[in-house]
Amino acid sequence: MPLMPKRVKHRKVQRGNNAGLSQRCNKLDFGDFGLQTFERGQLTAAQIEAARVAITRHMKRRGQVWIRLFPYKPCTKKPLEVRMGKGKGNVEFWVAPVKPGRMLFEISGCSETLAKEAMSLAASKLPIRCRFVSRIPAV
Amino acid sequence: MAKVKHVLNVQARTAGTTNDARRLRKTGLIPAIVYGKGIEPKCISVNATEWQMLSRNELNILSLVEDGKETLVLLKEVQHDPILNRASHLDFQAIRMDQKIKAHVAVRPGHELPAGASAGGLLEQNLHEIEVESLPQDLPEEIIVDVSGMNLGDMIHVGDIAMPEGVTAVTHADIVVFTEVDESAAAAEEEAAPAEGEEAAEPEVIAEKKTEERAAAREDRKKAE
Repeated sequence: MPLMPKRVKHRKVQRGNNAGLSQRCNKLDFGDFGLQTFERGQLTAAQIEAARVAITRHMKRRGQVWIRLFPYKPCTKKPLEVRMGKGKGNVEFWVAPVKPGRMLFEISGCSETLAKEAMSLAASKLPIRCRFVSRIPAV
Repeated sequence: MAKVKHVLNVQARTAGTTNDARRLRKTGLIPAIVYGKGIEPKCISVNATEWQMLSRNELNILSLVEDGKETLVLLKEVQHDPILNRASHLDFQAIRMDQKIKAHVAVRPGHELPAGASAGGLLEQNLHEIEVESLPQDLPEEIIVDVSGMNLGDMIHVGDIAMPEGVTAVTHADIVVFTEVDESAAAAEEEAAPAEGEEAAEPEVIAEKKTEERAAAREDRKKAE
């Protein structure tokens, strides 16, 4: 089942804006290693799930993974070959808007090398550039 | 282990606007402030390179040196730029050696592996910092917890941690700091989880429900009239 809210206040929402830097969720709060974005964009539920699967598979289901974002925003699309007008299209997918600095995933319970590899695989599933961050200071 | 005295050179600055602070950062300085009980808040600036070198250590108590005059302070807050990963503002609280202070201290597991590790256990750290109260000279830089005796399913709470002499924990004693979890059981749970509820259900719309309720109430009122 794709990631989406159980209850929403409104079925469809406007696009809105996504300016500024991530003022929260911008540091490691749970795990020892993380994947932080330094670009802005929207991640769909499918992309988040693909990244999560890539991390858990590479870690061979060991350790712990935290997903620090949730696709709460519905995105609509008009069907193909339909003229403009006649109201807003149907909800097709859900996205999580992200701002630069946002921590996307956190993991713990594995070595730094394994974490780096897992995060690199996850980053390749996402449409924005990300970097690996670690709680352990570099020597 | 003897405590290391961290010294930081600072310069006085005049309190300005956001743009003034931005200009200051461009010159390689970090805007900061010193405040405390009974003293007037004072704006200062810190050399960014010096701070970067110093912040590699676990910092709590520092000695700020301005024109040869030393002030003992507690590092209260560091504002970070999430992209450039460098400090953008520092908060220091002036302290007195004879007064107890509250501070957040890092908690780390000891170097020895837990006993449950050989049985497929994984040490999870749920809390990375503990708030403690002590005199400034007693304040530890970090608290090392011995986890070697932990078996599968064992937990270490804040109340279980042996604090150094003169230090008391302010964080609630029942909060879990370390857990030794069974990794194989956790993996099995994770595998079983996606099987339930495969179909993509529509989310419940709260606003629509309210509109329907209001319409029903309106109809009832009409009928009553």
